Amino acid sequence: MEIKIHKLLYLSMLIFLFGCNSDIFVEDFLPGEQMDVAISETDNTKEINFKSDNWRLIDITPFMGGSFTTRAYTLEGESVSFPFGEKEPAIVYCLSDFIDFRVEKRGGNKLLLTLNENLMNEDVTMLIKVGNDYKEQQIKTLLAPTRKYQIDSVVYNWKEFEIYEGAAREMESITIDNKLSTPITFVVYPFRKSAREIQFYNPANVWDEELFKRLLGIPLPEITIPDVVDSKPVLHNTKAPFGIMEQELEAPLDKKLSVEVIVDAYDKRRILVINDMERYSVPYKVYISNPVTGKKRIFSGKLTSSRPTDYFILKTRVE
Amino acid sequence: MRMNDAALKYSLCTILLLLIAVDSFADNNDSTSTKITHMIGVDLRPGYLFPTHEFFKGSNQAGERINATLSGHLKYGFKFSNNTYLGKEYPHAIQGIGIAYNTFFNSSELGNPINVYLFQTSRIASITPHLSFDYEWNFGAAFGWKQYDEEKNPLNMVVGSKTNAYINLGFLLNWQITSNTNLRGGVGVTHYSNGNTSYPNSGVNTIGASIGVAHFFGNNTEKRSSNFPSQNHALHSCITYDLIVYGATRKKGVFPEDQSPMLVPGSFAIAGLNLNSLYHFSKYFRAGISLDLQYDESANIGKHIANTYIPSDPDEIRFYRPPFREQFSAGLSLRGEIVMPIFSINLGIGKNFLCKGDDTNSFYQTFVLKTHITDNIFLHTGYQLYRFKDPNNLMIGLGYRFNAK
Repeated sequence: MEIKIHKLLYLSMLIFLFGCNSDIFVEDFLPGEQMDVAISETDNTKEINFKSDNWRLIDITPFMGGSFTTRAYTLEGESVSFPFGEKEPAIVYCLSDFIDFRVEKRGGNKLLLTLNENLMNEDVTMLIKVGNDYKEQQIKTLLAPTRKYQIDSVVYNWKEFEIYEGAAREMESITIDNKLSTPITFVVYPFRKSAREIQFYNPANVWDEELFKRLLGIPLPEITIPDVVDSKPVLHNTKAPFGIMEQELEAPLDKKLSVEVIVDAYDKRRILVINDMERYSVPYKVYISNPVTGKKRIFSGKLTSSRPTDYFILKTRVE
Repeated sequence: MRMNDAALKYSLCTILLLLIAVDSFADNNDSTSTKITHMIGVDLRPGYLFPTHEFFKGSNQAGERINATLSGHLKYGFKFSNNTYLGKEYPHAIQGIGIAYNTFFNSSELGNPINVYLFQTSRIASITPHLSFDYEWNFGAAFGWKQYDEEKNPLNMVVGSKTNAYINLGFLLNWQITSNTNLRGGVGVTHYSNGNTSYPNSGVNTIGASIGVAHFFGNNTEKRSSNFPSQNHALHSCITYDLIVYGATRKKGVFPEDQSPMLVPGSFAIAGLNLNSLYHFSKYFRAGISLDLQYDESANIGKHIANTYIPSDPDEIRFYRPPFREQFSAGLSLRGEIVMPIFSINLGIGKNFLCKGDDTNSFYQTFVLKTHITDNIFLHTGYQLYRFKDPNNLMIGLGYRFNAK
């Protein structure tokens, strides 16, 4: 009898064990609809723990303008591409001129997000899509802006410094037709519209002011530009924001300076207000680096400056 | 596990367990042939099949109504002699096994199932010294059904497995022709289903007549002076506690939002524990309260579909395993139990009080056959319904009776 009872018990246990429909169940690797993650410079890594390992990296989509590159590698460093196989580890670098973001799936239950750089002047959203054959889920990752580059040094190539003195620029032109029998006096302001103009120029690239704003921040940092003293370049304290291609700087001139011009009776004259200009050009290199990441960049080009130094007025007869 | 395999497995297990029980009981109680009286019987049962599905109403390949059935039965049974305890307590009870051949007059779509079953019959009332009013129940499995097949048998949306449970209850006039031969005739109802172990499972239900002859071997003398022997209530009144552990598998359908219902592949596990506290009102009847605990692997999975998009192919659907709280239920039920030699029929109606989710928050009904192996140990073969109509699961297990006398 006892043997029979044991047989019955074993049979019952077998029935129950065979009953489990485990194939129909899958683990929910990340419960919920969408996960929101925020990463900043001070807290630049986030580890997301998954409930199970039955998922894969499907895609990473940035929500930002400009070109963007993802490079994916195996843990051994071999290049691979999306989508990865389920449970397949991978390291994905998301790179652009302004973003350096890394997604690492080294094990089955973890995803490590690392923000190295977000030079955009706003939060950038990355949608990391993970899933399996049954479910896809997005991890909305908000990348806060990180520290900007700083200017380490500015180097001018004095050997190629070129100066052009004696140039002139017409500032104003007025025609006065005096039909009176007496002379008339007319006042002009030779420096009223005068300004020093500088230009940073690189023929190899299109100047993109936004690039410099992203790299260096707003307002743009200033660099010292050369002045000319006795026909030679000197670095005093004249500064200009670096990143704006063409700029007008205040010139140390009396803008209220007035000059009387007399036109005789029954005379018709064209009055030209002309500034003497001092022009130079000099190649430059600006070295910048990121104090957090240590990344370095170099910008090179040619700086040209055109500065009014004096004036003269021409009165030409008009027939 | 395939659907049909599950049904076949349960049917075979049930029969095997019951046969073991009968064998064990005979071993324990009847060491000599003089203690039991053997019986051989044959029945012929023509019947009417209830047209509960369009398939029976003519939506079949034959294009004809299916409303008739005929079966031939061959039975072996025994009853305990008057000089045994059970023979004195239950002098008219006969139990045994039977085999039957069925036809529904559409063998190409329904098949000609063979029933293998246990039966028990006894007297309800004596009408004359040689005529009595009896009942008989049959419980077993019917093998050889032509099941639904998308390609070969697409219109049979009634039968989902080759093997189905067979349940029959009949009421008979029993005329003792000679001292060892009886002529029995009456009516009975029959139900076939697979206990939700596979789909479809609409069930096949018939009502029919029965005519048969039973011949006894050996001493068949018995007292026919009373309907039921006098009872000494004091001897029987007590409370027993039946602890039952059962298991089963079941199929599951889900109803995704804005989608067609879907049958989930595979079979889910059921495990349960019942504690029947039963007061013995008489030797024929017990009643009481039962604490019913059940774990259903499939409970509430419809709310935990893993697929972002519901697939059109059911094989692709997957689920997150629901929390245990949604798979487990505890309920209390009222139980009534009709007691006969070897077998007891236990009926219950209850409500889950500890549950979470629509699949378990329900009234339930239980139909159980207890087959006693010893005074304390019995086999438990049951079926649970929800809301009086929704098939839920089988309950195949073992029970132990505490305080048995």
